[in-house]
Amino acid sequence: MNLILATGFLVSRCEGSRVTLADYLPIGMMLVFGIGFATVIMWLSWRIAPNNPTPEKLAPYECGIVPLQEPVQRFPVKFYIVAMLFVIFDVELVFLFAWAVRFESFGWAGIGAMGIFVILLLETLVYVWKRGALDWNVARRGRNRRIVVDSLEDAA
Amino acid sequence: MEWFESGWGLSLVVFLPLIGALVVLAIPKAEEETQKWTALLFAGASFVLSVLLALRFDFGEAGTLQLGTNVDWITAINSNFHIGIDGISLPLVVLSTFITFLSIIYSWEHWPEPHNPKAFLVLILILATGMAGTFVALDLILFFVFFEVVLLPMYFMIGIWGDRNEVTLPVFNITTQMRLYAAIKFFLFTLFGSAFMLLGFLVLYFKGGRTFDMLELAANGAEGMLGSGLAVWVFAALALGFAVKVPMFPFHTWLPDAHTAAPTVGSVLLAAIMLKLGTYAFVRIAIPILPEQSQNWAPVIAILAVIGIIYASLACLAQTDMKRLIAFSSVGHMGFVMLGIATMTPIGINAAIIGMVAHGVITGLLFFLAGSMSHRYHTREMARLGGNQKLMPIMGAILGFTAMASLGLPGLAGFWGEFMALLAAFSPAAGLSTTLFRTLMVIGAVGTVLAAGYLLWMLQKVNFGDPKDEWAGHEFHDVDIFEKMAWVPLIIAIIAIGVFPRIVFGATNDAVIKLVTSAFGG
Amino acid sequence: MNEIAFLPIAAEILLLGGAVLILMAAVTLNLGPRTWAIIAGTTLGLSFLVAWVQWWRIDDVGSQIHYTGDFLRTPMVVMDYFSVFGGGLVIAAGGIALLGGWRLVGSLEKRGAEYVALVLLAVAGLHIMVISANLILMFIGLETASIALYVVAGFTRDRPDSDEAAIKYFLLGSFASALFLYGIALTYAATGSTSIYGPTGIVAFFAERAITEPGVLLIGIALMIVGLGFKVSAAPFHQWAPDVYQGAPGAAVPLMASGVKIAGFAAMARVLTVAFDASISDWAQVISALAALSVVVGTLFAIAQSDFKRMLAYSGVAHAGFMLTALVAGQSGVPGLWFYLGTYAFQLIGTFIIASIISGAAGGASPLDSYRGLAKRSPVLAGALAVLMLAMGGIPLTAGFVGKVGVFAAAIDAGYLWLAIVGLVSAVAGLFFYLRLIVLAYFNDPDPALADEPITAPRSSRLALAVCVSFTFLFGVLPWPLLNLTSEALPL
Repeated sequence: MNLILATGFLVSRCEGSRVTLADYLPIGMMLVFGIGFATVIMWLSWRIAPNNPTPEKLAPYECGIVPLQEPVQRFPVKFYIVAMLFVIFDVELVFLFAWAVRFESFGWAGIGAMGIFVILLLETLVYVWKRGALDWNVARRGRNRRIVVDSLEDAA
Repeated sequence: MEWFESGWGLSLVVFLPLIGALVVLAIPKAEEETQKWTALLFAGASFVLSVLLALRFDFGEAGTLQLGTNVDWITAINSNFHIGIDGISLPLVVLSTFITFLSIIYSWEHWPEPHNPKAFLVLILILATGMAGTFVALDLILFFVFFEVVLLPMYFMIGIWGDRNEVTLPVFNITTQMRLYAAIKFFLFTLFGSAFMLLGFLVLYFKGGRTFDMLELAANGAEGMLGSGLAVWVFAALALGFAVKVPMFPFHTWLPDAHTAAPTVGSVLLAAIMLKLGTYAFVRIAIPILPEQSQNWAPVIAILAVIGIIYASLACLAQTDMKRLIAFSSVGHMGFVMLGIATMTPIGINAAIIGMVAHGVITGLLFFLAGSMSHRYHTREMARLGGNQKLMPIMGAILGFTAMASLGLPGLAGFWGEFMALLAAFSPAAGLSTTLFRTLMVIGAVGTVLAAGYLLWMLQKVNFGDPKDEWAGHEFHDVDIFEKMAWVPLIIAIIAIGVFPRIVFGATNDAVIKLVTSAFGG
Repeated sequence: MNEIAFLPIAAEILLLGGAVLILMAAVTLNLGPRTWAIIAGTTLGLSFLVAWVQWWRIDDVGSQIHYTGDFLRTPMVVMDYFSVFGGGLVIAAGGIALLGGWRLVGSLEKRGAEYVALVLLAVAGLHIMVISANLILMFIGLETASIALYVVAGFTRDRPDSDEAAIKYFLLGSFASALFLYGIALTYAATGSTSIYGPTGIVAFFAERAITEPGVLLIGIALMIVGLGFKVSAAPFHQWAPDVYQGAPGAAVPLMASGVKIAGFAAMARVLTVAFDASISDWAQVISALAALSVVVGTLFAIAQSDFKRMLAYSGVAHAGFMLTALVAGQSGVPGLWFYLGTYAFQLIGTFIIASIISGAAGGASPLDSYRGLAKRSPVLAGALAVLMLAMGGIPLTAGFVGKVGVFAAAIDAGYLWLAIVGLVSAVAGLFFYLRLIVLAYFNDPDPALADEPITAPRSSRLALAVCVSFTFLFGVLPWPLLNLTSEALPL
């Protein structure tokens, strides 16, 4: 329902007037200008800067130990889970911002809708919590341990 | 008896076997006696009712459709449950209930492997509903439904109880059992034809006034509502569907396989009734609704019919398998029926209908005999049979009698169909080439000689001479009581129709004349 | 239009609430599958009731387009016979499919709750697709359903082919969604609206003016057809179907196969026959080509399969082609489409339930040889299989026949005789592989190793299968109750 509300709102903003391709002209100009600007700057820095490479300059670190192995290593899947959860909640909360800007014009219907939205977020949080995805230390997970361990093993 | 004549009687004839099938289905598998008696009861009731209908039938008005009803069925496409019989369908309805009844009697002690009488009886009864329904349906969709209902039970009959000998398919080089090959071939051939038939029906619906009712379509068709450009192809589509079922040369190839592979009762029903669905459809649907096109296509049909006659006769002479020989002879007989229809004259169509009935009783009996003989000898190879007359005198006598009837001996049922078809070909309807049809008549007459040839040849191989050494010491049980009960009525019917063809013509003649007049305008 | 109308979206609210409740019940109160079943059953049952209430409401006040609040100028949701019928169908199919595959839920332990919730969300998404009056909302419904189903497809993670199915479904599905979205964008560029109805909608736009340079619009329509074509697995966008149907958990396939087809075709019918009715001469050509290709490709490939589920997937391509055949007739083809869709969905669910009984709820390969001699091992199951196969093949007295007649009648009426011929010939060729199952089940003896092994099916599967088979048979013999409904279920 919130989705319906939100899309409906966005769509109706756009449909006040018949848009023609000519209306996209400012965007096109901005695009051209942006790309052009970046190109010019890069060209300038390449043209103006003196170019005098030496082996020291090309080393990753000018002082210290030369790395012996690739710096990229595997790290625990837990990070991904937390990062994913963060991104999900973060993105969902963006909707609150759009609503907050115009909340007066939405009235009670908007507050109700947003309330449902927040409750849904809360519900998700409870679910994630109860399933043990927020516990960092796997050993302390008690009842839900087995499931997460299983899923981790599956992933591995 | 008001209710009986207002469609209920006819509906009961059609649907009693189906109800019987459901009842048999409900009886536990172990109680075979109860199953048999129930099936017999329902098939018998259906037969008795069809005879009652024939008695109630107003022969003075044989041209009009009687005893029927017309109620809404699928209103969205304007398709109704419209049934009724006239002089053309009456003999065929009676024939179908008659043969079904006899088939169940014959089955009493003759179960093909694997046993399972319950399923077998259920299939026979469903088949009976489909066959009788096709002959009474006056709505194209209803007709199509019944036409296809027949397909499945026969498919299962061939596939489950059929011939288990191994065959190697010529093109695909796959070795499989005969029954599987024959069943799928039968099904796909027929359905391929049906698909085009359905297409034709749909076009008729849209171009013929948005109705599936055969009578309305016939009225519209006689007025030339369908135009001619599209109608050529509509007729071709319909004819393809019917011709596969008949089967006409060159669509006949499923038939020998299906007949050879089917269990005895399956072959009997297939030959005696199912082949008639196609020819009946020509008379009932193609000619009245598309008269002009029927006339245009008549030479093609006639030529194919005569090719079928000659081809089938020659093919018969090359057979070693008795059942296969009878199957090919069916193709030839149906050729005569189609030739009669193609002349578009009252005599020709009358010939076609009596030919259909006669072929039903004669070839039905021949397949019963072939089945019983292969049941006893465990082979159908004519080279291994021989001297049957000495081993089983009664069986041999009946075989001889039936072969005579099949080759068209005057005084027996088979004579009228062939003789009158040839007679009609001498003077076909106005607008058809007399030269062509007379030529075809001559060729067809040669076909009757060939037919006499292969049937006598079969008799000589199977019946005459001395028994082969391999049968020495075998004790053969001659015709048993169930066989007698199933066969004697057929023998009586063959003689009765042969001596007194008015049994059939009395019903058909007026109807045929009316059909031809309304289609071709006198 | 001062307040939000809840009736048109009551089903979504119910389904969403049901999904939330199930998840909460599972993790906080620690309730088991029985509770989930009660919640899911109630939710789906009530949603189905809502469909009836909506139907009566339309009887009283007529079809309505709904704005979502007084601050919006464009209609988001439409409540007409079309959406109510389609929505009810989606819910019914979802319910039967869930019931038929309930065995899977038990074997998933705690993750079962997630599975049930995902199924409810998928049904909600599909329902949105059917009721939406706006292309973007339609897209959101499509994505809601698709994402839920991507997860469902990979639910049995211990099997590699399930992973493969999920990834394949996800990649190709996302691609299709993107194409659909791009189509919407181009349509917006051409018409200035993403709404179908309303004073600023696409229909109004076409009523006011004729498009002189249709390039952008045509590309937009074409992209939308491609996007939805992927979802309904019409050739040549069908390659994902066999792998996904084979790899996904067997008990989840019924919903994936039937639900998406229903909603996809509903969306297609809404977009093409309502929004772009004006340019029917353009898109009907494309649809007829797709239809012909689908029936031929689907039939030919299905003949070559040796796995039941893959065969069903390809036969599904052919069936998609038959349904497209109805669509070429525009709005007059909608009743035929509905009937076909409504009956085919249940045939499909029934066959996949059988497949999941034979080869396990978790899924995987189901070689045709495992159906050998089924009639001896389980006569009831073999009978059900026979009825469903014959229905799919379009034999009279099954619903499949009535459906095919309706579809071909629509095509012939619209002047596409050639398409009907192609379809009929393919339908006959298609019988070959449906009959093959019957041959295997009835005419062959079972594998000696399996002959004495009884086939066990839980009561839930048997019940769902019974519903599917009786639907198929009932609407084959007495089609008019459903035909009457479908003939009314036209879009606004």
